[in-house]
Amino acid sequence: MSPDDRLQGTLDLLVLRTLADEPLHGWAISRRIRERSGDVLQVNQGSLYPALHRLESEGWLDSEWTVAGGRRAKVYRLTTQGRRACEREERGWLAFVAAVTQVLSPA
Amino acid sequence: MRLLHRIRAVLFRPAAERDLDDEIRLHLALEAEQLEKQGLDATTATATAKRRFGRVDAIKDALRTVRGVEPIEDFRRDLAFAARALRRRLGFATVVVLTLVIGLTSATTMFGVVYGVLWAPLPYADADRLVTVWQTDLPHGIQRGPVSLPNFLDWQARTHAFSALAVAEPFGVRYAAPEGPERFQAWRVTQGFFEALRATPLLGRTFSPEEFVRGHDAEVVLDYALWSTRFNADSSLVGKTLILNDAPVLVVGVMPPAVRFPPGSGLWIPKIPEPSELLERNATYFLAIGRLAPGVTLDQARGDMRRIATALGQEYPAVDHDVSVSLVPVRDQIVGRVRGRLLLLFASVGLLMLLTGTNLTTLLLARAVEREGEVAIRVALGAGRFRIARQVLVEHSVLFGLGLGLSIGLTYLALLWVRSLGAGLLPRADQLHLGLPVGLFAAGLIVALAFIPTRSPRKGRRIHRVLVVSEVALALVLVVGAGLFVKSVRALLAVDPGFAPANILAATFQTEHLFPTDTARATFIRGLEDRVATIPGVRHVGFTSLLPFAGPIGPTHAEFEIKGRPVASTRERPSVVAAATTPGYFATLGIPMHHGRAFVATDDAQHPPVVIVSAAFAREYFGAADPIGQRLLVSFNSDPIEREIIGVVGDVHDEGLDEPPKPELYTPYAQSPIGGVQLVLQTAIPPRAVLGAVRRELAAVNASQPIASSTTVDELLAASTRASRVVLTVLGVFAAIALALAGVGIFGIMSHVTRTRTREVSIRLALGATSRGIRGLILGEAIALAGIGSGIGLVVALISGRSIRALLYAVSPVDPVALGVGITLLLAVASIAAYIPARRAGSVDAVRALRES
Repeated sequence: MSPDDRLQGTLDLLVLRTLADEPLHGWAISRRIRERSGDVLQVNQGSLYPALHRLESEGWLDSEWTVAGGRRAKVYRLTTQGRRACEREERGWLAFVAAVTQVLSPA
Repeated sequence: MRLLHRIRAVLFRPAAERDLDDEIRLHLALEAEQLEKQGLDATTATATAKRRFGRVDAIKDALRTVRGVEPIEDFRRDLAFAARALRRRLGFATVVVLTLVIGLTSATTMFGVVYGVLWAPLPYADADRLVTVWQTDLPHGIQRGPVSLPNFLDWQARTHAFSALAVAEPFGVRYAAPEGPERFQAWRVTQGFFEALRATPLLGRTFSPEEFVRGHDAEVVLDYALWSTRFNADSSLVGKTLILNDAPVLVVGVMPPAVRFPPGSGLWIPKIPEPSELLERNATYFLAIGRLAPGVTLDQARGDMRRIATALGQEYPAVDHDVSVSLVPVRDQIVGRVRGRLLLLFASVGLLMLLTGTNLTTLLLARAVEREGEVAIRVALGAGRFRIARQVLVEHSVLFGLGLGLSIGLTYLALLWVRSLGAGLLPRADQLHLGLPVGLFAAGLIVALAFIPTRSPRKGRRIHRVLVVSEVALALVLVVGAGLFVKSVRALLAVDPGFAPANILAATFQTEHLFPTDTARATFIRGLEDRVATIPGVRHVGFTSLLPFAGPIGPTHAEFEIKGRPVASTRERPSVVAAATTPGYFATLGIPMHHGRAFVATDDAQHPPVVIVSAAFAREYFGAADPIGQRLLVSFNSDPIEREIIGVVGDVHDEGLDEPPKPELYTPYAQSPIGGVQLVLQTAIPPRAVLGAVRRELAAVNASQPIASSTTVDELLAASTRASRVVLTVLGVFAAIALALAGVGIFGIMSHVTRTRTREVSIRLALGATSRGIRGLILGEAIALAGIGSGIGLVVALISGRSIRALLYAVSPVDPVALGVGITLLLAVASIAAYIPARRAGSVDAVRALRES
C-alpha cells in the first residue's frame, strides 16, 4: 500500500467510521469528523464528495434523498458490505499506527 | 452494482447532474449558516464557504469520473471536436465523403447486381442439382437444342441419373377476358416437372399424378407476374375456373415471384402426349429439365445420357444419328449469357474502388501532415498518445460513417434503377434489392478502406510517386476499356441489317388451333392483309413466319437439296434459315430484290411451288452461276416439295448485327401457311398509331383472334444491341469517374508535394532558378510519373484485354486508337492537374519562405 493509498484509505475510513454510528449527509459528515477530532482533522471538502460517491459506487454506502429543514439532502448510510469494509480498514489502520509507533518509540 | 451505477449515471444524466448540484448547494448553505453563527456577515460567510469547498467545476469533474461517465463524455467531446475540425475544413471533408460515396456506391451497386443475378440462391431447393437437358446436333450446328418427345421418353425410361426428369412445351392460350380475347404464354409440362424444380407454390398446389390423365387435366398453375398483373393478385382465384382456349380450366396454384421456368412462363398446364407426337422423333420443341438423383455427379449424368443417345442413334439412324445430349446446370442456363459482361463491369468497379482508395490515401496523408503542428501543441499541453490517436480515429469514423450512410442510401436507389433498366436484359433483375449480403459488402469495403495509412511516412516522397503512378495506371485501364467498347458499339451500330427498320409495326399472331384447314388459314391471312392495307397511313403490308430480331414463333429452318445434285441420304441435306412470307413482305421491310421477281398473289396452292433465296444462299450453293430457274427440293414444315427459284433478295441479319447473314430461303405464305405469323406494316405515320385500327380490322375478320404481342422493328433492332450499349454506358461512366478521380488525386498529391518542397524550391530560386524552371521541374515530374503509370496501365490493359475479346465486335482488344487516346487523355489530365501546383511553386517568395522556415 503506497502512502497515497494510505491517505486515501484514511479519508475512507473516517467516513465509514462516522457513518457507522448514524446516517448523515455530506456536510454533517465533515462537521462530525472535525468535532470528533477536536478540530484537528479538517476534511478537504473537495475530496469528501468524490470519496462519498466512490464508496457508494463500491457498494459500501447507500444513499437516500430526504428533506430536512425544507431542503433536499442526500443522506448516506453504511451497507452491510460497508460495515465489513469499515472493520477491515480499521484493523489495517490500527496495525499501521502500531507499526509507525514502534518505529518512532525509542528502543 | 458498479455497472448499474454507471448505466444509471449515463441514462439519467440530467437527473444525476441535478442531484449533484443540490448536494453541493446544501453543503455550501449549511457551511455558510455555520459561519454566520460564528459571527461573519452573510456575504463573507457565503464566500468563505465557497472558498473552503474548492473549485466546484473540478469537483464535479472528479465526481463524473467516479460515476464512470468519463469515456462516454470523452467520446462526445471527441465527436464534437471532430465535427468542429471538419466544419473548419469543409472542402477536405466534402472531397473525402464525395470520393467515398462515388467509389462505394458504384462498387456496392455493382456487387448488388452481380450477387443478385449471378450468385444469389435460386428459388428451387438444392438448385445445384437442377439441370436443363438439351439435344445437340453438332454437325448441324446445334449445341443446345430443344428435345423431341420420343427421345425424351426413351431417356426417361433408360436413365437412372435423375430423380425427376420432365419436359415443358411452349403453348399459347387464348383467355376469354370480359374485355375481349387475350393471349397468354403457357407451358404444358409433363409429370415430374414441379418435382424436378422443387419449387413450393405460393398458393394452392401443383399437379398431382392423376391429373396427367386425359379428362382430368383441365387445371392450371399461374406464375406470379400473370397472377398479380392480370388477376390483381386475387388469392381467391385458386379454386376458381378460367376459360382458356374455350374450355373451363381450374386454377390449382400460384407460384412465388422468383419461379419463372421456363423463362417467360405465364401459366403451366399438364401435358399429355398426343399419339401422333409419340411418332415424331424429329419434332424438337420441348425443353427438358432434370434433378440429379442423390449421389450422382453432373459428369456421371452426362456420361449416362450420352451413352443412351449413342444407343438411340443406332436404333433410329435416320433421325438420331448425329444427336447427343448436353446437360447445363440451371444457374448457367439462366445467367450464363450475362455472366461475362457482368463480371467485366464488376472488375471495372474494382479498379474504381482501388482509385478511390488511392485518392483517400492522398487526402488523409495531406490531412495528417497538416495535423502534425496541432498534434505537437496538444502533446506539449499534456495530451496522451492514445488520446490523440483516438481523436484521429473519431474524425475518420465521422467521415467514413457519413460516406457509408450516404452510399447505402444511394445504392438502394441505384438498385431500383437497375431493376427497371435491366428488365428484359438481366435475368432476375426484378429480384435485386439491398439485402444483407450487399450491406456486408459495403461494410467490408469501409473496413478495408480504414486500413489506409494515416500517418505521413518519413521516407521522403516515394509514397507520393507511387500514388501518382497508380492513379494513372488504374484510370488508364478503365479508359482504354471504355474506348474499346465505344469502337465496338459504333461498329455494331454501323452494320447494315439488310432492311430498313424505320416505321415498321410488327404484331404477332398464333393461328395454330384456329383454322380447320391450311386453306382457311391462308384465306384469313389474305383477307386481313387486304383490310389492313386500306388503313390510312399504311404504306406496305406483309406477313412472315420469321421476322429478323424478333425471335422464333414457329419453325425457323428448312432442309433442302438442289435438283440434279442428289445427296447420299436425307441426313446430308443442308439446313438453312427459312421464312414463309406474303408478297408484300419484302417491300414492307425494304429488303432489296437482286434478280428475278418477288412473290405475287397468284403464288398460291393452285400454282407451281416457288422459292426465293438470299444472296448468301446463292453464293454458298450456286457460286457465280445464276440460281434463277434452278429447282430445289424443300422441306419446310412439310414433306419435301419441289420449288423453282424465282428470285434472289438481299441478305438480312436474322439473329444479331454481330452475326454474319446466313443463307436463307423464302416460300410464299399461301403455299406454306404456318400457324405463327408476324404482321408487318410500314407506315407513313408513327407505327404504333395504327395499332388500334389493326385491332378493329382484325375483329372484323375474326373476333376471337387476339394479337399476341406488338412492337416496332426499330425497337427490336435496338433491343438486340441494348446489352452492348448498356455495358458501354456503364463503362463510360466508370471511365469518366476514373478520370475525374485521377485528376483530383494527382492535383492533391502534387499540391501536397510542392508544399512540402517549399524550402527546396526557395533555395533553388535563391540560387538563380527561374520560376519558369521551377514550374517545368514540377510539371515534368508529374508527366514523367504519369508516363510510368501509363506504361504499367498499358501492360495491364493488354493482358486484361484478352479476357474481354468475346464481348467486343470488330475491334481488337489491343486496338491502337483506343490505347493511344487513353494514354493521351491521361497525360493531359495529369498535366492539367499538376499545372496549378507547379505554378504555385514557381511563384514562391523565396526570401520570405526561407526566413519563415
